Amino acid sequence: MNFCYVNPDGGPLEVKITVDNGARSNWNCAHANKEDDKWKALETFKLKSGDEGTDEHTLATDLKSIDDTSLLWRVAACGTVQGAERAKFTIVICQDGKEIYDKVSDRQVPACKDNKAVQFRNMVAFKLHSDNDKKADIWDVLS
Amino acid sequence: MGRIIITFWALCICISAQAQVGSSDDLPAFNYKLDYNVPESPAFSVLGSNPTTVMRGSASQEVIVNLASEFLSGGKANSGVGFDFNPYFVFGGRLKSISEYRKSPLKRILANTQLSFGTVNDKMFPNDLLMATGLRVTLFDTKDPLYDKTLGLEIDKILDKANSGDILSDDFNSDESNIIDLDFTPAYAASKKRYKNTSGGSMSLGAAIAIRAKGQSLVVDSLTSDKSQVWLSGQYDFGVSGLSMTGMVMYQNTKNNVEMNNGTIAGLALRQYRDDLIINAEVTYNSVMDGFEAAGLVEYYKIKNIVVYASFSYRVDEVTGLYDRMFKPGVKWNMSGPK
Repeated sequence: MNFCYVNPDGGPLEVKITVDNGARSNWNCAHANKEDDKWKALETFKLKSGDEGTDEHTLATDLKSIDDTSLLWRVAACGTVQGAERAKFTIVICQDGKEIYDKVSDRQVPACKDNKAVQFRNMVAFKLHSDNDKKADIWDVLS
Repeated sequence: MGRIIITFWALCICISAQAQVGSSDDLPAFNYKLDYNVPESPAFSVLGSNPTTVMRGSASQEVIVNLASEFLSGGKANSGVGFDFNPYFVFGGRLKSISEYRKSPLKRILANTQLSFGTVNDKMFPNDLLMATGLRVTLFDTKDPLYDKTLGLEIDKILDKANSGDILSDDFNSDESNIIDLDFTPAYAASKKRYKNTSGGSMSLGAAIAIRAKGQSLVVDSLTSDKSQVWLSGQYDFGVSGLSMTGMVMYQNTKNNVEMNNGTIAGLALRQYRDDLIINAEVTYNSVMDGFEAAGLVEYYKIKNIVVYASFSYRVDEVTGLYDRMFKPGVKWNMSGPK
C-alpha cells in the first residue's frame, strides 16, 4: 500500500503526471473512498501527457475529510517515437509547492502504429499529518 | 574466421544493447517495426553493396539487418551482412517529450543518427575480408511524422475512449500491466495521406570507412584502409503523386594495393512512393571512373518487418573500367522481432 501524508492545514493538493520519450498516455483518475469494500467516487478526472509530456489537476476535495481516502489511476499508453521503446511514467502530488508523494514507473510501451497500448493501474491512500500530530509522527518513523 | 568474428561482434552489440534497454521489466518486449522509406546503410554504401548510389535524407530506424545476396545476383555482386541501428535510443537515451524533440535540434539529431557496421565478401580477393563502419546524421526533416500534431491528437482520442471504462471496479492490488488491442490504423492512414500530400525536404550527412583485413586476419599489421567517403544528401518531396527528388554529393577516397584515387560522385534520384512500393530511378556521375552511371530500384514493403528490394544498374566496373550491368537483390530486416 502506498501512502501520501497530507497537512490538513495546508493548501489544496495538486496531482501532476509526466511521461517521457514521446509516449502518448491517458490517465483515468478517481479520488475515492472505500465503503463496504466498494469504491465510491468523490471526484473523477482525466489527464493526458500529450505533446508536452505533462498534465496536472487540483483536487477539489476538502482536506479535512481526506483521511483514509485514496487516489486511483489507470493509464493507457503507447509510443510514437521510432526507437524509443520505454517510457517513464511519473505521478507527483504536491501541497503548497512541495512534493509530498511521487511514484515512478519505467515501462516498455508498444508502438501506437502496431495497434497496441499498455494499460496499468495503481493507487495511493491519503493520511492526515500535521506538524503537531504525534500519531502522524509514528508514520514518519515507519516510513 | 574473421568474418565470423565481425558478424558475432556486431550481433553482440545489438543484442546486448537491446537486452540492456529491456531488462528491468517483465513485460513482453514490444519494439518498433520497420517504417516506410527505410534509408540506406552507410556501411554498405562504402562497401558498394547498397542497391543504389544516391542515398536518402530521411530519418533513421532502430535496428536493421541488411543482407546482400551474391547468389541471386549471379555472382556479380558481393554478398554481405550489415547492421544499422540508432545508438541514442538503443543505448538508453531519452526524450523528455515530443515538444522537446520539436524544439531541440540536438535531441532531433541524436534521435535520427544511424550507426552502421557491415562486412562483405570481396570477389576479387576472396582471401581478404572487407568490413566497414559508417555514421549518418539527419540534419533536418520537415516531413518528420513527429511534427504531425493532428496524429498526436487522434491517438489521444483513441486512448481516451479505450481508457474510459469505470475505474472503480478495477483491481488495484496488482501493479501488473496488460496489453490492449486498439485501432490506430485510420489515424496513421490519414497521417500517411497528409505526409504524401505535403511538400517538404530533408537533409542528411554521412561518413563511412572500409577496412581490408588481408587474409581475413584481424591482426593490426594486416588491416589497411580500403575506401572512405563523406556525403551530403538532400531530398525534396513534391507532395504530388508521391514524387520525390534526391540529390547527393559524395567525396570518395579509394586506396588499393596499386594506387590511390580521390574523386567526387554526384547524383540525382527520382522516387515515387506508393502504398507498398517505392520505385527509384537515378543517374550519377563518378569522377573517379570518369563516367555516368544509371540504376533503377524497387522496394517492396508488404511483408511485416521485411523490406525486399532489387536493383538493376549500368555502371563502370571499378576493376576493368568498363561498363557493366548488375542485378542486386537484397533484404532489410527489423531484428527487433515480429509483432
